[in-house]
Amino acid sequence: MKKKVLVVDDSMMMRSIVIQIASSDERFEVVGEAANGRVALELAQRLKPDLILLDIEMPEMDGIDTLKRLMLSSKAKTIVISSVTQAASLNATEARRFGAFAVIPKPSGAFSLDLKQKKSHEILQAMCKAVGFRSEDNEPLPRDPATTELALAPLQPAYV
Amino acid sequence: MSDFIAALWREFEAETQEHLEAIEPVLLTAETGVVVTAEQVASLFRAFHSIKGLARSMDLSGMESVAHAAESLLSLVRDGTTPLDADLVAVLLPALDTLKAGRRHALTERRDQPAPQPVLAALKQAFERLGCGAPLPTPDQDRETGEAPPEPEPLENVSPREAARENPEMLSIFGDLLRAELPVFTRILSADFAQTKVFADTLDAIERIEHAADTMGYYALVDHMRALAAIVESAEGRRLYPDARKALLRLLGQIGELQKEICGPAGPEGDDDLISDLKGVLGRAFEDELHETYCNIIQALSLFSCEIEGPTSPYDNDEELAEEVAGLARLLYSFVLFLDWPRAADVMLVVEDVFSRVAGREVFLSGETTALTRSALTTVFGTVVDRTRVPEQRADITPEVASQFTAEFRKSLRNTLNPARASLAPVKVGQRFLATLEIKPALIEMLSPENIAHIMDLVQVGYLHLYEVLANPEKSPELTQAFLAWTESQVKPITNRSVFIAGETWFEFLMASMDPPEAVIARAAEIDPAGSFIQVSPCQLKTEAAPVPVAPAAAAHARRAAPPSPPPSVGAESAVEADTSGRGESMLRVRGEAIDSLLNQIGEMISLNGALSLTMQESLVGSALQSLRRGLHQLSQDGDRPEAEALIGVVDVLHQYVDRIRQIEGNYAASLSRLQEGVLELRVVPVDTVFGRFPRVVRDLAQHMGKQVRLEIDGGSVRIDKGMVEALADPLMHMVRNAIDHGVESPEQRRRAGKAAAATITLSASRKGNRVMIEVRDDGAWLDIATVRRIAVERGLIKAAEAARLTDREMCRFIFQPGFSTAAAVTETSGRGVGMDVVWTNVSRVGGTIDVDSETGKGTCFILSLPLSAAIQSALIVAADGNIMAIPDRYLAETCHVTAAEVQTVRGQSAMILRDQFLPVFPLTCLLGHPPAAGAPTRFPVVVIENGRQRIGLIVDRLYRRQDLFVKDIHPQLAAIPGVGGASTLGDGRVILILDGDDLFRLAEASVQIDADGVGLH
Repeated sequence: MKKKVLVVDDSMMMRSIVIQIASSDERFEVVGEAANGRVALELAQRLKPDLILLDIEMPEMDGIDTLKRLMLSSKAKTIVISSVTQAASLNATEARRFGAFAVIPKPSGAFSLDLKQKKSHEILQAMCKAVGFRSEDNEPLPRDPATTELALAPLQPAYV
Repeated sequence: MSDFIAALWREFEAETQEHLEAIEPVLLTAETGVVVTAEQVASLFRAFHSIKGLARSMDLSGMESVAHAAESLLSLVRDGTTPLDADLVAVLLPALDTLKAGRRHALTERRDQPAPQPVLAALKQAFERLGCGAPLPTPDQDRETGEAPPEPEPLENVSPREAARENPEMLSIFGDLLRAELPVFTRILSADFAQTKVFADTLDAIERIEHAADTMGYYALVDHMRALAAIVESAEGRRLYPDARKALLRLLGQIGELQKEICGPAGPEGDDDLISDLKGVLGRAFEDELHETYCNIIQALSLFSCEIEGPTSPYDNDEELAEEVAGLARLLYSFVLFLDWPRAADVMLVVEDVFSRVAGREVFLSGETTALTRSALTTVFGTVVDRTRVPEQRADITPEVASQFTAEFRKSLRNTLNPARASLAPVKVGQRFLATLEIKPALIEMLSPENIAHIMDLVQVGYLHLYEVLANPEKSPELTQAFLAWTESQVKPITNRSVFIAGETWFEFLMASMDPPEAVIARAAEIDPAGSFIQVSPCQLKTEAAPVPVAPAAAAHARRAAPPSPPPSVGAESAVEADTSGRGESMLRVRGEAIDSLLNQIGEMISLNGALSLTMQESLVGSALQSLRRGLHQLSQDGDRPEAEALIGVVDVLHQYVDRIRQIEGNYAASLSRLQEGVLELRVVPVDTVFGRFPRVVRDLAQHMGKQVRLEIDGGSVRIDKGMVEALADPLMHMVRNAIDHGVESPEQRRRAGKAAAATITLSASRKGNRVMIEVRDDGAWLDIATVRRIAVERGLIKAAEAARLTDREMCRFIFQPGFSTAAAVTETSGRGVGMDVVWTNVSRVGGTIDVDSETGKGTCFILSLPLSAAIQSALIVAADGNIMAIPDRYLAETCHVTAAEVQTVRGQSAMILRDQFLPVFPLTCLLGHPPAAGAPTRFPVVVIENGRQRIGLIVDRLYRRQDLFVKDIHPQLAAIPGVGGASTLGDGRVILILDGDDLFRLAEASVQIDADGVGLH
């Protein structure tokens, strides 16, 4: 059985990146995404994920608030993925107080969305640890050959 | 992967834009000294924070560092260290501009652009100054050395459990959770508990409470939840009243204990409420649900067709409704069980049984049955639903009453037994058909729905005649043979029954044939020349066949459209609310093109439906049927052909079909247009998306020109089509620039004129009917009408005499002439003259009009009137030289009919006098480059079009109607043809060209210059 993952971040782009990272390991399956804590709580109940990747700064209901509620309402392990700020170090302590399994900085450099890259790998590693998979610490996943093409990718028209 | 990266860039573009747009208005507000709210600061912080994260993930460290610094500054505002004042804005605005530039650079080059040092330095300095000397942490520093790798183990001295128990907020969250989950347990009492979903929901809720209680360390509750889960699991789909009742009573006791536990750490006051709420929920749930279920079932009963149409329509099976009633009866059964009323429970079981059979089409529902049901329900629940009665007055029904009801239900079941489960759709029509004929009741009664459907099938393929045949062919083998051969060839037997006539067994048949009575009778005579064994009698049309109205069935359906909502379990409201608010948040980002293509598709469907409705309206079916009916009537009266009467019945059936199709077509059209509105609504955005750009533009421009301008925005929430927004951005920008550059005076000038030093420019939007009005108003000096008049005359645009006659307002329109300018100097911001004509063109391209109102010295107001959607335009459909074309409404001035004599040719130019005004006229086809039609008619329609400056008449062959057209893009080659603006399809599927009025004026002008050279267009 694949482990079910829920991704929570107010930025659609961040969600895409995190989903890309999470689904690069086929033992994980991203079953849902939410743009704020309120939706995340609803989805956590409906989808019963094993793992929740949670952002801290979000409108409507922020990550810490969500975490407190998730702690009671979901059995999923929660990994907080957050930008590093001064406030964030306080947040990190707070997050762990309220049941976050790990607190990890946001990935940087989608250009080199190369899973060998430290930050991306760090997320996968924590995910494996959280659900009890053996993480392949020293065996980085194969590099996607298509990564080099990205400089050629055409600029697409904007969304609505 | 490259697709993925491309998608990331698109996301980056869209999201950064969103955040950047959110930042600016707040900063500009703060700059004016208005105190911004805490939420605004929080959203400002979040916007910079998000931009930072987005930039970081795209490796744009230039943007990242600026956003980081700005975010850090705002964190000082957020925690109250410093206010967001003009000084801070002065640092943040350049940061915003840097981010905008960085974003543009990143989007074109896909590469980082280092942040300009002065901007960064200013941010850094501000942070150090305001943040009590603490240095600004650099994002790079964070990235490398910021957080230690997180520990998977919880922090040493605080376990999550303790953290939870000690935290009052966690306690209240726990309370909320209980409040939300506990009402589910009331469902255990109801019979639909056996349903898988409710069963599963309950187990889920138990599991969630168990988990939460475990996290909080309330182990007693954990134990109880496990026990409850065991009871529920053991039920596995069967009803579990006695067990469940006990379990729930225990749960109430448990919550009482829990109250004490929670009260310990959290203080009794707030939590007392919570517990009493919970108790109330459980205690009240029973009563409330019973009451609601009762009301629902009574309401459902009244919706059955037999209730509405009367007891004469036994075939009107409303399966779904019956299903619902059966379900409700099952629920009521559980309630009476709970009340320990075994006899009432029996009756409820019978009710459930009856309606399940109706739902399964085993029996028909009659008015008698529904009445009986209602009486049973009232008898059983009368004392319960009457809330004035005290519980002591409630009691089970007596055994006598119970058995009486049971017997009556059984009887009614027998009466309404369905002999066969047939598809009932054609049956109703068939019944109406049969009702128009004289047929022996005994034979009619024998007809099963299948038989009736069979008759209708036969009628449709031409077996129009029905006969009652009495036969006793068994008298001789030959006769039997011949009779059987006959029934296999010319007639179709539908049903038969045996009758005793004078001691002999005869068979009575109902038969259908294609042949008229004489042929059938002749054939019967062939078989039985003596006429002693076969007697044929045609079924005659009843003398006064009462037409059966279709309407009540439709009404029944309409009422069914709003079925009673299932009883929400009491106390679940809060959960439901949370649910909806959560859903409201989930937004989809959809490509504009996807919506456009959807809209296109709907447009096509509307056209097709138009074709259908046109066919229905114009088709001759109705009148053909009418004359057919008249003819048949005539034939039966004068021609003494009684079979014609039977055919009239068939015609009436066809009539009903046609009416039904019309009705469906009407509903379909209405639903299509709702669909279209819905999709159009998807393209709609607040006008603020355009207005939002102006505060900054106005601020920068005013500073640049040394003027003081206050911008007021009104009605920014008015919604407008997205296509319109794109078309409006440039014209509005132009008008606002014009207003600041030329309209607004310098502060000294304004003071001298007795005005406030700061000018006011107002952008406002409002909705008027199906148009959106946008006003750009300034209180400056511009639009000096006298100057406009002078220049218009100087340029030869108008004769002096005529100019004197025009009103100020009419004169204003000259500013839309290409190259028209009143300003003495051309400035950097608004090149004189160029522009207002472009504004005109842009606005009219999307179907809008523009008007100017100016009072010298007091200011100018441009009023734009725009359609709600750029995709739909209203136009006049005309025919010219055999082609059908549409002229958009916005150009239309009027139409008139003129005779050939009224049109005179002055120096090669055709013209007419319209209300004392000289009006050049052109045959529309000639303007479009076709040769003039030979043999001009003596009288023809003229369409007068205007563009605000000129009026011309177009000679056409015929005027049709005005219609809303869904404008489609046309092939560029087609669009390049002068005069053609777009295309659409008409209701009948024909493609129609939409003319471009501006083009027509240009073409007219060109033809005047070629044809003659003295006559202008004015």
